[in-house]
Amino acid sequence: MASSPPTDTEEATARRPRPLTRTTTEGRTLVRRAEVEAEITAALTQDPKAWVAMAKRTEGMCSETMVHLVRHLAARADQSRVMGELLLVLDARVCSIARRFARGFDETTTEEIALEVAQSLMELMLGQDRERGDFLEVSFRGAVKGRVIDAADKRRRVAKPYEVLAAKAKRKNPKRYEIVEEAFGIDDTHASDPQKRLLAAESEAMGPELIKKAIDRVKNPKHREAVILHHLRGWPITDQDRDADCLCHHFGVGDRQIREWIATAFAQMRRAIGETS
Amino acid sequence: MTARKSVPFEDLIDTIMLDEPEPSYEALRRWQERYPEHRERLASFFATWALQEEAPDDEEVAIDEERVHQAVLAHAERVLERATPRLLHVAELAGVSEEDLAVRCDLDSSLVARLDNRVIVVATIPGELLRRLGEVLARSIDEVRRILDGPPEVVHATPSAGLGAPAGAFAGAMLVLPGTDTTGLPDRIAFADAVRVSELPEDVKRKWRDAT
Repeated sequence: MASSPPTDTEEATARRPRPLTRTTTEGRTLVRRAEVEAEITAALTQDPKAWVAMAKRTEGMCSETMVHLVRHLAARADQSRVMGELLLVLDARVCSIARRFARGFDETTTEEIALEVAQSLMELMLGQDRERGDFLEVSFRGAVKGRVIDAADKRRRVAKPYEVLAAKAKRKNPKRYEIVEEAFGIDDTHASDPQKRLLAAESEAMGPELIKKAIDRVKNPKHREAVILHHLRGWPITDQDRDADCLCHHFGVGDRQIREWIATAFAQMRRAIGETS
Repeated sequence: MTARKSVPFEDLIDTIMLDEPEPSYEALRRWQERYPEHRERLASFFATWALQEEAPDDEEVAIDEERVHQAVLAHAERVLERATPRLLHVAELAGVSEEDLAVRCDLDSSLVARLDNRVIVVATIPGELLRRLGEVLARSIDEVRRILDGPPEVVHATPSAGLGAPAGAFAGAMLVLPGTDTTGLPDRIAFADAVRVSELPEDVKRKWRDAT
């Protein structure tokens, strides 16, 4: 049977990227955004040498598209220069996300985080277990942001050994926990019930928007963290459910201590927004 | 509730970042209930995420991006060296199925598996096959040679496996078990030997024998 020339639709279908096969941890198959699918399809009609210009133009190219093109080129020996150029554009975006979501660290640590995350992406895009890279074609920013936060989290935990020590000590030996509290100046004796009531009223009056405005004026990082987690993200200070996370468990200190921290933070925030205490 | 296989934390983060617009306490509890094995790390991750969302602009620092770029490119080269693309990966990228590849190149599934697993000595593969593979995959003959000549796949195989074992995904890899000589077979085999034990029709076998 003589074959007829392919129609435009058939040609477009042939150029479409292969569907992703990876699933989320919840079992949903990953699917690219329509915008990314269209961009990949358009790019595959061009010579790979044109992709770099497309990626660098003012309006840019979706990172997810670039990931697909890099994975496509990884199987070719003749386009390493193009692949290198695309990797550099992607890496610049990784650096930008790392700066944004690893705030509070020095230059060296932030650079380490950017490098660690970028290198893990190289493994996902170019390594042997290529299916794991599918997520990068669905949400590149989400994948990078999650890894940056995780890397920042690991460093934050290492940077505050007394918290780890206090939390572990409390679970193993309450008596020893008191010694740890004392050793690190964690005083749990000044709060009272009227103060709890005052704090509740105060946070209600201030509201999340005002808290967000004034939060960066809180001097002590632990106090700031307690206010953010409790007042902006809904973490309870204590929880009857022993498996549930609460601020006491998170910081490894008692509830009166947490309320003391929050009271101090609120005093600084009030001053910051021009209220009298 | 059925038992569930534990997932790596990195994979869990990917799903969370896809599903959760913000690090609320309710979201944390939901994920902790689903993945109790990651309870502690999830709590810490959500706390750091919440802090970073509220972190002031002046805490953002400049980094030496050029240095990061250079290190990343060097790492990419090392990853690529380790992960030379396999035949079926290249075929998949070219939109060619395993079956189609076999039909268009006069191979059977055992030969395709052995070529994919890189257990056939490349120097013994007829030029005619390299040319056909190049045509089907839209690659140069040098590229095809490089794809077939990467490090062999190492998998665990049953002791009874051998050249005469049924063809399948691991049919070729059984020959390269490190330190294993129970089969008495060499690490890599000649193309002609692979053809001999294949299930190709006799006339096709004869054609490949004549070509080598």
